[in-house]
Amino acid sequence: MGSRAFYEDATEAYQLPRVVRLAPNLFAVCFTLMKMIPARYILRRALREGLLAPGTIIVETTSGTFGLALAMQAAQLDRRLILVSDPAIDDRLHRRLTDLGAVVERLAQQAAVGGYQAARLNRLAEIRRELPATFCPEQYSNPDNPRSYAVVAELLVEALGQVDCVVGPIGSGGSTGGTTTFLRSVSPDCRAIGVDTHFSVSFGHPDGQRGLRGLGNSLMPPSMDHRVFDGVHWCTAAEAYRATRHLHRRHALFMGPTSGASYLVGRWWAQKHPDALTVVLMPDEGYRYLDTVYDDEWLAAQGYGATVLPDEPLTVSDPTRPGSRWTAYDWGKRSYTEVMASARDDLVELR
Amino acid sequence: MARDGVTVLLAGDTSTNAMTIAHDVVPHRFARHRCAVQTRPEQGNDVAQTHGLDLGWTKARTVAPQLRLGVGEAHAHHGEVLQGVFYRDDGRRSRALVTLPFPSRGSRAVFRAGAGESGTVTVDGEEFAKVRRAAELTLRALPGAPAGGHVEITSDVPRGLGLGSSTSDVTATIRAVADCLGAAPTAEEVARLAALAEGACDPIMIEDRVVLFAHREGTVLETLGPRLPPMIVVGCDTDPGGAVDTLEHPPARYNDWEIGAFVVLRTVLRRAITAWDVPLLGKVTTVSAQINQRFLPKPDLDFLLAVCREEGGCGVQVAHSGTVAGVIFDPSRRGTVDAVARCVRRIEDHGLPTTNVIGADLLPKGLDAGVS
Ligand SMILES: Cc1ncc(COP(=O)(O)O)c(C=O)c1O
Repeated sequence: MGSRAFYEDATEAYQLPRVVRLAPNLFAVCFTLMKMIPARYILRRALREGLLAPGTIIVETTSGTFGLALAMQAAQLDRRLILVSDPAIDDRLHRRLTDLGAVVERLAQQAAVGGYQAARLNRLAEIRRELPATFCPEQYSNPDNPRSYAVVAELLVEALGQVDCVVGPIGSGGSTGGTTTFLRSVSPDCRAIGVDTHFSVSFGHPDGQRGLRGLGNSLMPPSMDHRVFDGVHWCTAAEAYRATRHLHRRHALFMGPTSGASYLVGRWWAQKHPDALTVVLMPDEGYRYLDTVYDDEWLAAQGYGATVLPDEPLTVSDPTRPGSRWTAYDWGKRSYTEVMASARDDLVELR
Repeated sequence: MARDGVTVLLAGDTSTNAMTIAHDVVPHRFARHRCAVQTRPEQGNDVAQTHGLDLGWTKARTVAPQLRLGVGEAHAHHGEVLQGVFYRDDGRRSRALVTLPFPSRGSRAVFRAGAGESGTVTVDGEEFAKVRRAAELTLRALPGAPAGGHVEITSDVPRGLGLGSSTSDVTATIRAVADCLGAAPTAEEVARLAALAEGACDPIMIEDRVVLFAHREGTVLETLGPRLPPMIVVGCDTDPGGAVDTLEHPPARYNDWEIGAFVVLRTVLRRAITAWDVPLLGKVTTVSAQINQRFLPKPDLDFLLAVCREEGGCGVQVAHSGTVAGVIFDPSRRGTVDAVARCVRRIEDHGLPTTNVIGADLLPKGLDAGVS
C-alpha cells in the first residue's frame, strides 16, 4: 500500500515490524507485537463475513501475546473477549488484558496429557458450549494465521529485495511458515529455519517440562506445515536468555526470549552463509521479561547464571531425542510423517 | 504514443491539432471498419453523471457541425505483466492489472460529427457495439456536443488473442470524439469512459507511467513508476485459431494464498520498475502467469518456461484473458541477440506463431535474420 502519514488505528500501528541491520547480511525483524498480524487479519475477516455480530463473544486459548493482540482488537471493535490461559500470563499482562476489557481465566491445573495446552482447550470447549454466540480465532488450526503474513513478506521485499533465509521461533509456525511461503512466491529458494526448544512436540521431541515459553508445543498444531522448513534448531531456556541479553547489550535491541533464541540461530546461519541475506523474526519486546530474563539475580536463582553461549549448534541425526544444549537437525522440507519414519528406520539400523 | 512518424495536418483543422501517424504499421494488415453513431439528444449528460463521471475537460470548439472531424489513436498491448486482486487504500480489494504495451500495433478512429443525425443508430458488425457506446458516452459527457456522428475504425490489432483490440478501438474512438470537439480529456478520464463503454478495459490510454489499474472500474490503484524497464518480449499465440471472449470468460476466483502473494508481487514489481530490474520483473510475470493457469490455462506455458530457462530469459508473461504469451529477455545481458533468435526459432518449431518481438529495436542490428 502507498506511504501513509498516520495509522488508522492502534492495531494497525502495532502490526508492522522495524527491520534493523545486525551484520552485513543479517537483519532483525523487530515487532512490538507480532501476533497483531494474525489477530487483525482473522478478526477483520470474521467481521466481513458476518461471524462477529455485536453480541458475539470472542473466545480463545492463549498463553500470552496472541491474547493481548485480540484484547486490543476487541476493545476497538467493542466486542467481549474471554481468554483461557495459564500461569504464563503474569500479573502485569493480566492487568493490561483486563484493562482492555478481556475476561481472563488462568487455569492452575495441567492436563495429564498435553499439559496446560490441553487443559486450556478443554476449558475453552466448555465455555463455548455455555454461550449462545462465540467466535474462536483458533490460531493453532486456522490457515488464516500463516496467510496473514503476506504483509511481512511485502515489507521485507520492499526493504531488502531478495531474502535468502528466514529464521523464526515456532509456536503455531504461522509467522515463519507464512512469511517464508509468501517470499517463496518470488524467491523459491528462500530457506526457512525453525527455532524450537527441547521437549516440544513440534518437530518430534516427546512432550516435557520446558523453561522457555512463547515457542514450543505440548500438542501438535493442526495447521503446521512442516514441509516449509529446511532446518530445525532446539535451544535451551538458558541459551535463549543469554542470547536475549547479548542481543540487548551488543545491539541495543530490547526483545523477548524467543527473539533471543532466534537471534542465536540466525547469527550463526548468517556467519556460515555470508552471501545469503538472512532475516530473524523477533516477535515481542523485553518489557514482559524485565523481572526474569533481564534480571541477573533471577537468572542466577534459576541456575542460568553461568551459561556460556556455544558458537555453534550440535548437529543431531535423531530429531526425536531431546538434548541439553543447542542442537540442529536437517529437516529438508519433509513432512512430519516422513521425518519420523526415517528417524525410526535409522534407529532400527543402529540396532 | 511516443514513436517516430510523419506529421500530418488534419483536414479542417487550422489550429495546433496536428498528429503523428506511425510509419511502422504495415498498411495491408489494416482492417477498415465503419460504424455510424448517433445518440439521443434528450439523454444529455445523464449517463456520465449517473456513473459519477465529472468531466472537467469540456472546451468545445464552435465549428460548423458538418466540418467537425476528430482523430484518435491508441496502441495495443501484449497481455499483462501482472494481474490479480489487490488492496485499495481503503482496505477493500479490486481486480487489477499492469499491462504490457504493444506500441507497434494499434487502432485509429476518425469521428465525423453530425452525420447520421436523423434516423436510428446503425452499427456495422456486432463487435462495434462497444465503439458506438464509447462514442455515445463521450458525446454525452460533453455539453454542446452534437447528437451523433460516424466513427471509422482502422486497426491492425488481431482480435480475440488478448491484445486489447477492443480497448484500442474504444480508446481511439473516445480520443477522436474528444478531438472533434476540441476537448483534451486526461488519460484517467478516458480510462473511466472506456471502462464504462466496455465493462472493463486495459490501461493503454495511460501512456506516461506504469499503473496498477482496476480494469473493471477504470481507475488507477497505484502508479508503480514512470515506465517499464527496457526489455525484449518474444510474443506468440499459444492457441492458434482459438480465441477468448474477454467478457464471456468467467472472472478468476483467487484463493487467499494467491491474494497474499499479490501483495508481495505488487511490491516486487514496484521495485523491479524503479530499479529497471528485468530479471526481477520476469519473476513477477512468471508467477502471475502460473497463478492464471488455474483459470485460463495456456497449454504451452511449461514449454515457454523451459525455453525461457534454457535460453537465459527472465520470465514468461501472458494475456490473462487471451491466448498470447511472451518470453522476456534483458537487453543489457550479453548474448541476448542470439538467445532471442533461438527463442523465436524454438517457439515457431513448436508450432506456435510468434506475434512480434517487442523491444527488438533495443538490440543491435543482426536480429532481423532470425525474426520474420
Ligand atoms: C513471543 C512469541 N514468540 C514466538 C511465537 C511463535 O510464533 P508463531 O505462533 O507464529 O509460530 C509467539 C506466538 O505466540 C510468541 O508469542
